[in-house]
Amino acid sequence: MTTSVAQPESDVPSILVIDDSVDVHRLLTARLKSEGVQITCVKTGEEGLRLLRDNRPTLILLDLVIPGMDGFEILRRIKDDPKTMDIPVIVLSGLSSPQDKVTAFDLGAVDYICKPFDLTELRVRVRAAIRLSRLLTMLAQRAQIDGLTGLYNRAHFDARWREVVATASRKARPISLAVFDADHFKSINDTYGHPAGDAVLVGIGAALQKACRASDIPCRFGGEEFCLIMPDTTPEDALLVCDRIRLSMGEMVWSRHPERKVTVSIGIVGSHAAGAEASAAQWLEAADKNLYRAKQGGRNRCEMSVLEGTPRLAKAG
Amino acid sequence: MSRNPDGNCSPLYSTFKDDPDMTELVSTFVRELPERLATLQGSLDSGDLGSVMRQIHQIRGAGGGYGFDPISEAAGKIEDFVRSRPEADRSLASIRAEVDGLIDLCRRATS
Repeated sequence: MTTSVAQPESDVPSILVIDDSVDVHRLLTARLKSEGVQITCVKTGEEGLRLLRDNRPTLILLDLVIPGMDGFEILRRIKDDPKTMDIPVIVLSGLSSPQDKVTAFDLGAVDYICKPFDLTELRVRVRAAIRLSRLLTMLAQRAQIDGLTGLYNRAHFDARWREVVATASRKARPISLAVFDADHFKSINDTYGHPAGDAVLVGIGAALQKACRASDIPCRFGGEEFCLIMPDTTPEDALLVCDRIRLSMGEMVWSRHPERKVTVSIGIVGSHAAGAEASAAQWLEAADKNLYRAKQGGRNRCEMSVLEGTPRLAKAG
Repeated sequence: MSRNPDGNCSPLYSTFKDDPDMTELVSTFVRELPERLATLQGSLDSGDLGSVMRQIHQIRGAGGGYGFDPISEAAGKIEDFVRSRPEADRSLASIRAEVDGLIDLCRRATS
């Protein structure tokens, strides 16, 4: 079984150093070499914030007194942006007054190291911050992952869907959503027992994970219902993707009941330029309606409709 | 603040001189030090307090990092002194002797 992992983080921790002093760049790079971390150094907050947009480091080491945007302002911006707010920041500063420390911690710094730094202290503090951050990431992932299938759960879907719709409508990009439901799932449970039913759910989760593209986000909604968020995908393309998944599921052979195939019905709704006015509930409602049509139409099929601006159902698929 | 000349010109060694991780960095620092001191001297001569303070701040941060703690301490004293004064009372004249002392101290750094 494949396990879906939220924002896979590579094994090598990466550290972004924001400090105007080249000496500090050199010293940190030499001093942290033995920690097996990858270090990137920049001289200004502007540069650092620009890098953060595309690369998410495990940890940030931040100087306070630097030309241009000062360290407190950089810290404030990192902690104000939902995308970067949970990256731990250690302040590394020549300022050592209690007031500076209090301000840094109030703004969200995880630790404060005074310059000139002691080598051993620096290493253990960096190590501790990375360990803490890993544990927090793991906890956050666990809370968003369905224990049976390893897919994202409903809580993750709710948060993620809002984010994906906002991005799509800001950039006027297409977006699609599909709801999957295993056909006659109750009868599988009743005939072969709950372990067989669970195996089917795990199998569907794995098939979904395997068949969807890297940018797609598969979730288990609950019960025998799954969904697939497809960013940057027109409803027509979503239909192609989902029909491929539907066909592959129909071909799967189940070790607990090789004689019995499992099919899925799929309701798809999509928009060519993000139905900005439609709420998450309206999207789900539209997808559910299509799922209902697929069930009514004889199951093991996809039904798709297009949502443009205000939700409007169109016959397709 | 008054100067306390010690007339000492014995070499100042890095406390990391036997640390293989640091040998190269320390010698780079020592090699580049005269250039820094020339820049600092230039800012002193042109009476640019802001520039002098920025460089002293950098020397403070760097010195100890390369194992030259006395350099960081001397630079730190100057920086803290200036910071403790009201903006209007800050002047190059009040720290001139200490900066000269810092430059002398840096010249003793040896790798």
